[in-house]
Amino acid sequence: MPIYFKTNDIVVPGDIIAEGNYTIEQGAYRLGRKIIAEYLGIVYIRENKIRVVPLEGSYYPKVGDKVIGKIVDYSIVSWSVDINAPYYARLDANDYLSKPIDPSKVDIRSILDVGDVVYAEIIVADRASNVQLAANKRGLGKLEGGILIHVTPKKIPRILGKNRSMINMIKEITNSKIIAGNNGYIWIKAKDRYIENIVVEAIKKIERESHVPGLTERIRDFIQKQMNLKGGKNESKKE
Amino acid sequence: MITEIKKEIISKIQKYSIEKLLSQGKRLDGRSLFEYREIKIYANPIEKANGSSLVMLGNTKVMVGIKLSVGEPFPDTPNEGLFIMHAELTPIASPYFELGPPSDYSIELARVVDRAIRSAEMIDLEKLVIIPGKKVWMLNIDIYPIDDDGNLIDASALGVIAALLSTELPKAEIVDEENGVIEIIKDETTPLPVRGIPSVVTFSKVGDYIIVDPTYIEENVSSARITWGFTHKGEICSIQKGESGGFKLEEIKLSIDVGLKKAEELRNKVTNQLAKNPRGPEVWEIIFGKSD
Amino acid sequence: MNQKKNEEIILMDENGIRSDGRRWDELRPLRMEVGVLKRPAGSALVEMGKTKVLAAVYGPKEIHPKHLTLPDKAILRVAYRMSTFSVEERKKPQPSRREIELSKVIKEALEPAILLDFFPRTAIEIYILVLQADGGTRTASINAASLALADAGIPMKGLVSSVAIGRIGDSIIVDLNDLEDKYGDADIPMAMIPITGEFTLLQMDGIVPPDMFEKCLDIGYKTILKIHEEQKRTLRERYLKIKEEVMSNKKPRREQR
Repeated sequence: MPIYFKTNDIVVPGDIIAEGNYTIEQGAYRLGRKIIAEYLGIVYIRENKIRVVPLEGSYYPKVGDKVIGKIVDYSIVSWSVDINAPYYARLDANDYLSKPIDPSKVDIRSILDVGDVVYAEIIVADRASNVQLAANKRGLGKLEGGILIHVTPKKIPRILGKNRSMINMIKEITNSKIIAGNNGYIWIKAKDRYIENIVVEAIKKIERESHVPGLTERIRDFIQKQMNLKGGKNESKKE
Repeated sequence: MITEIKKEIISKIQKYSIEKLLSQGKRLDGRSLFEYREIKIYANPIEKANGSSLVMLGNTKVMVGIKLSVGEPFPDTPNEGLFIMHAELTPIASPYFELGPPSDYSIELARVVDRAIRSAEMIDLEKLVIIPGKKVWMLNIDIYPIDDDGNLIDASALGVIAALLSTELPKAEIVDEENGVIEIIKDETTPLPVRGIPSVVTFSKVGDYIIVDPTYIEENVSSARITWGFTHKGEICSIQKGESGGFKLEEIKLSIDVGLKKAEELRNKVTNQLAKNPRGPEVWEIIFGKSD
Repeated sequence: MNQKKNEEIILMDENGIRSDGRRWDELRPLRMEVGVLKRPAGSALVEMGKTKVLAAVYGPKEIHPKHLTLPDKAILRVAYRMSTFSVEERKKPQPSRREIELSKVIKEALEPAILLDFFPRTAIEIYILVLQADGGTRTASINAASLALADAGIPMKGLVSSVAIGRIGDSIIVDLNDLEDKYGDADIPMAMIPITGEFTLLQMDGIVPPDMFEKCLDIGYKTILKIHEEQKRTLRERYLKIKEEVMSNKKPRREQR
């Protein structure tokens, strides 16, 4: 069964990746015997399986994903949340608080207002564009302070790393809080702005260079260097 | 029929970040409060236009094209040529622009830039007369922002100024003065007669801070803006306060002081960029990344 | 102001050389660049000779009113517009009937290639701005829009590639410039999805006998494949460039995003 690309190659829409009895995991379709890429992306070929991971694209909501969203509108008992997807998501007040609210007594904007940022889980995502969030579990909820950046959602797995190894490494070296939503929004809170900027630069570097091998080492070196520069300037970075 | 431009909602986290930085004299992109982004100006990228330019102000990009035609002067100014400025805000530049007739924002943009150029008398309109009272040169100056990352006004003004400085006037020979018959000799041209380079400087108010050259995000968290036009001699020639907030007296005076300094910087920038950058079709070599 | 009416226009001389020095089967200088704008999801700039076209893609996104959307797939909206200074005589900014028709045929050239059913109840929007027109603007638009769609991460069966084939006397010509479009004997813009072999744009202005027309189709097919290669190269190059820079530890030249 002929194969025309190897893992980590860049493919464009219409590229014929292979011919024959391969299993398509993602990002490709079959035309006769040919397996054809649907996206501009990186191809991964393992045993008989072919996967194309797009380099760009908006976020496509999936149940179970945890996302960071921005409140953009509200009704009496719910909020509309921008999660960088083709559709806004809805967060019901009852899925945010631990107990139900009485709309006649409570103004929903006093709980979450337009412009607030939440970390929530997707509990409903069907094909007809109905997306619902819930944030009443541990670890979820409103995010305050720190900075918020946005990367292309396809790069989030790379930023998290295998078993969260990449993101944990960054958190450890910089002693910062980092929450990366599956939808491409990342929240960073560190001791000061300088460190927050180092984390931002590291993440942007991952986004740019994710398809170049040796990434983890490069990122570690980069952060160490930046943190040492800071260490030379004022007090040391870690206790 | 006048449409509002829908603004993007900026998260509280980002708003807070912006204000915290401003209190330390810095902005999200590392600039100080009174610093312009990197400016690149290219002349004559569009061969078919009589004059044109491409301006990059940070990530904001604007194209300006000038088309010449011959027409009749206005009855009250028989010894002056004419120019009309127009701006098209299309979805190419921003998801918040819609197709359709000009919005109030696009009309304001064109008129604000026009006012600065006109009051400063940058174009020597008397030298655009071919047959007094009958035939004069008319310039259609069209502004096309193609990427909105804030401060379209200043970027457009730079674009218009650069396009005017690179416009060539064909020779117009009078064949029959009484009947207003002229002949245009396309291949013999002279530069458009201009008198000095004006500058347009826009400030935004974010919280209690005044900043120059706002990015798109800064515009979205600002309460008001003020745009100053300065002549090449440093006189104020146009003013526009925009958006729904207000400026205190000291803030206005501060923006004049800073504005004057920025005006000179911008004027020098225009001259330097036009002198050192390639022009004409070679501009596209740069866009396509073949040269730096 | 146009003096050309008094001169004779020679579209092809006795040696088969065209008004801009090309032979019948030569494409104009072709240059493409992806990701040139920051705000849209995807963008591209295409240059075919003096024709220069910019395309921007937004979406998939919700649109209002909701009744404009479809329950089982995305809708595609395309707007083709020419800048006022793109042509010899200044064009009024309001869309002409030609621009409206071209918006439609360009949309119908691209739509078959896009996997619209991935995104029900959304819209994918493509905006095309002709910066300079010198013949073949709709073909350059389709080439640019395809690149912009790929740049935006929109799933497609394959890219769409386009070129205009024409006739001067007994000669078939490839990639018509403005003079040839205006004064030649036929202008046949066409577009195809090379991976499926489907022609999705086919129009004609002028007169062509049927057997010559079939030759035009064959030549168009082959030429479209050349343009397709260039599109693919442009897309790949964007990411290969970053890979090279990182590998050789150089500082990046330009950050577009």
